[in-house]
Amino acid sequence: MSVASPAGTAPAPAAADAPDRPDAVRARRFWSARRNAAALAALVAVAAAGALLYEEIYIRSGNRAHAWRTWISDQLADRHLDDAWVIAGSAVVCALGLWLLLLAATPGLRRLLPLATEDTGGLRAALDRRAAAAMLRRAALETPGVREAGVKVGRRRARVRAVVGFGDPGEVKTALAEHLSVERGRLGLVRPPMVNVKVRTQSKGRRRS
Amino acid sequence: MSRTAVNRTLLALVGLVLLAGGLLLLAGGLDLNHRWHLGLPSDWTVTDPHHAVLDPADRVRWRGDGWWWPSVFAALGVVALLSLWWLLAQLRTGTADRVAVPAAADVPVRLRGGALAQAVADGAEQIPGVSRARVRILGRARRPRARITLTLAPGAAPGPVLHELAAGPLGDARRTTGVSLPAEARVRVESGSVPRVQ
Repeated sequence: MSVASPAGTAPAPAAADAPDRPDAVRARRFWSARRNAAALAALVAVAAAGALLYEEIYIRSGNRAHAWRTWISDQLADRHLDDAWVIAGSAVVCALGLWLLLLAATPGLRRLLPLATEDTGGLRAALDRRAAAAMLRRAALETPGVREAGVKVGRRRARVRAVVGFGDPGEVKTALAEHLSVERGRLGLVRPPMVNVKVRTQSKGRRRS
Repeated sequence: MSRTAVNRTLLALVGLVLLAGGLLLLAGGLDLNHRWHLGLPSDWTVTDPHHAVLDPADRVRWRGDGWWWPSVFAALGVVALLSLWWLLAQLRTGTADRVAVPAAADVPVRLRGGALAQAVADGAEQIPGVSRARVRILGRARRPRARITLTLAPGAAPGPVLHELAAGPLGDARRTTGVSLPAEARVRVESGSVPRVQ
């Protein structure tokens, strides 16, 4: 069991063959607890139910209704169902309901990419997308001829844009693609992203000092 | 039922209620029941586009009945209390303060969750390639689980580190305590080590 040297030149162990059989391991995503959405929904529900309850008790104990309560019941009584505000409001409520259903049914935590952990019993792991980008970027910058590199890692695809400082751009691109495909294996992801490489030569006007 | 399951069930329930209510109002406002022959009962006032959203006559319709006010208060009270409980449940961190130790079932042993977490974290930071490890023990005393946040040194690969983590500190913690301790690791990479180019 070797850990790659900081130079990143050590051969990748077991994880390197993961890209060849992406379907061998089912990608079990991490599921978010949806704490924020739940807290927000609960807060709104507490406030609404609490206010209504308070108001009903207040009125029942012989007081006049508050202005907000009167305003709401007047609005509900005056506005017909085909009123533009009512239709817009209903559409918003529908969209909100759909959104909550979507939140309930999807895993969330899109920043975490599942890592292959077949040899680590009882340990599940995921790689942060930014960490994957940092690893790929480091590998890109280690390629001879690459001066700058920007990496964006999506859930399925990684986009690498590199600026060639010296050497033939075509050759640099080939070397870069090779280097990146090794690094892609080292990520150890259940579903390694496709790596798109774009290179351009240093433009004179934008040279950095 | 875990908090995740509770949250998702209740969110789905709230979502369904909102969606159904919104669709009903929308169908009424656009007269879809009539136009598309949806078959909603025609004595529902909500199917008539020229009807008020909530007529005062409808609002006070059952006020005279004996069951009305108790039902209103009970329903509002239940919703308010349930939502309050739901809200407070989100504030808990979910950390297990204590862990039951099956390995010492005949001796009363108190293992603090924090101590177990610290032991795993200390071990994890010894693994080559790991620059920082944070561990939290979540769940209940009898079914604790570990959440590990690993920050890797630049150039390290997650695969071998995870393998060593499972075989080393995590395995040790499981063996010595007898707790099965399922674990999830979130892996990051130390930032700032690669020169940033914007």
